[in-house]
Amino acid sequence: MICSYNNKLISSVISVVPTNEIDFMDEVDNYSFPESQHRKLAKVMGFDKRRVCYPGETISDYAVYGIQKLIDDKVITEDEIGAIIVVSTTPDHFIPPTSNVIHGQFNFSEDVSCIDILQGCPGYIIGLMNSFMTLDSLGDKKVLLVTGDMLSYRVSTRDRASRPIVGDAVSISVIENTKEINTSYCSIKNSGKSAFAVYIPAGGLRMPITPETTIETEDEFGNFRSKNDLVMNGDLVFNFIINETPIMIEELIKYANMDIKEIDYFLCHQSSNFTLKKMADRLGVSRKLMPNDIVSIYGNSSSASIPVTFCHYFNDLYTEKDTLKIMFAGFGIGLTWGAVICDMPKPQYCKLINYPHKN
Amino acid sequence: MKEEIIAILTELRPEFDFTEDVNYIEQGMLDSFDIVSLVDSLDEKYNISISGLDIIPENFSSVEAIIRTLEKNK
Repeated sequence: MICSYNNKLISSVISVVPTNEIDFMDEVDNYSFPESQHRKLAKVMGFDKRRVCYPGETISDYAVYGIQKLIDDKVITEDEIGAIIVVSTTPDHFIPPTSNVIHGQFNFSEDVSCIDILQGCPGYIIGLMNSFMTLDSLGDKKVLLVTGDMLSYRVSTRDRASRPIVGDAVSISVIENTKEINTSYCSIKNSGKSAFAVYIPAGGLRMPITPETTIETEDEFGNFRSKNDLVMNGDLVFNFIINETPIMIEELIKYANMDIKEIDYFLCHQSSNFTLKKMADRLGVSRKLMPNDIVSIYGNSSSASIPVTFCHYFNDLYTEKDTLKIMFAGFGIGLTWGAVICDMPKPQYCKLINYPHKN
Repeated sequence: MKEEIIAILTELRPEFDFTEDVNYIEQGMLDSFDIVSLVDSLDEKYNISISGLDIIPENFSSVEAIIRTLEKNK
């Protein structure tokens, strides 16, 4: 699907991250890496620090804290919100939707649409597109786009393919119609035949969690996982991303009748330093225009990683221009890959804050 | 170049003898993380950027395969 939307604006962004910082070098004994690989991988893949939630914390906890902060700081009022869209693979519950849980914590109108979308790494792109679509029916009301995951709960501590990069975070983007004339260009693609390249075997109706699904077994690479844990075919996913994403991006730029040089920054899902460096090289854009080190600071926070990147680099992005042409790109779970090109005036509010843990 | 590549491989996985005429992947001498690390080292050593499209196991299964990959990406 490739399409465009007129006069949409991401007006504010807040990202909420845990204070609990894990250091890769403190965990290497959990993995089956040969000694010689540790430091090399830390440099190449960006295995370094990551932020992880504490047991008992959920997406809605972080989202409610972030939304309350937006209200307290007079960025939004409850009566101007028309929709809450939550994009996550780790909802609080199967039922009710997390968007409804969040709705219930505030005095939002009963006319507010509550929408949950189950997505991870490409989730910010899907969230933006659904926000734009929803805004076409909302008039002057705004969308709260909540994106994030607490995947650390579902990644084995002895899985070297995923554990060293997994981070938790939740972001809230305020999206609205604007009187400024602009066009946002969007593309989203899916390959359901590769759906199980990234998956969690147990926990749904196909394989309910039982005592048997909690038993860890070793794979051919020395990783230990249970059926309750995330499994990622890293080779397949890397090759898929490197093959397909640049093609999709070039197609979208052509659709937008632009030159790639017109784009000021490429803010991508933070899968790994290595992947993003190779992506920039493949597209022929400077690595400086595609930040790649967020995974080393906060970890890969799934659908929150793009807004976390935006918040982290906010003060560096707008040094020369008040309005940037930004490409957001996400890829992974699905397998799904997509991008949005939009004009982005400097948001009135952009913060990255720590979650105040209760214990 | 062959000696330089063997030196890089040996630094990466000193427990193996990369002068042997074997398939490094099939023999379990290199896994996907090793390949990523190897690509980074080769990029630095030869001041190139090996295309992501070429980062597949068969292109790193022997010294000869690695040399072909480097030639392609010069």
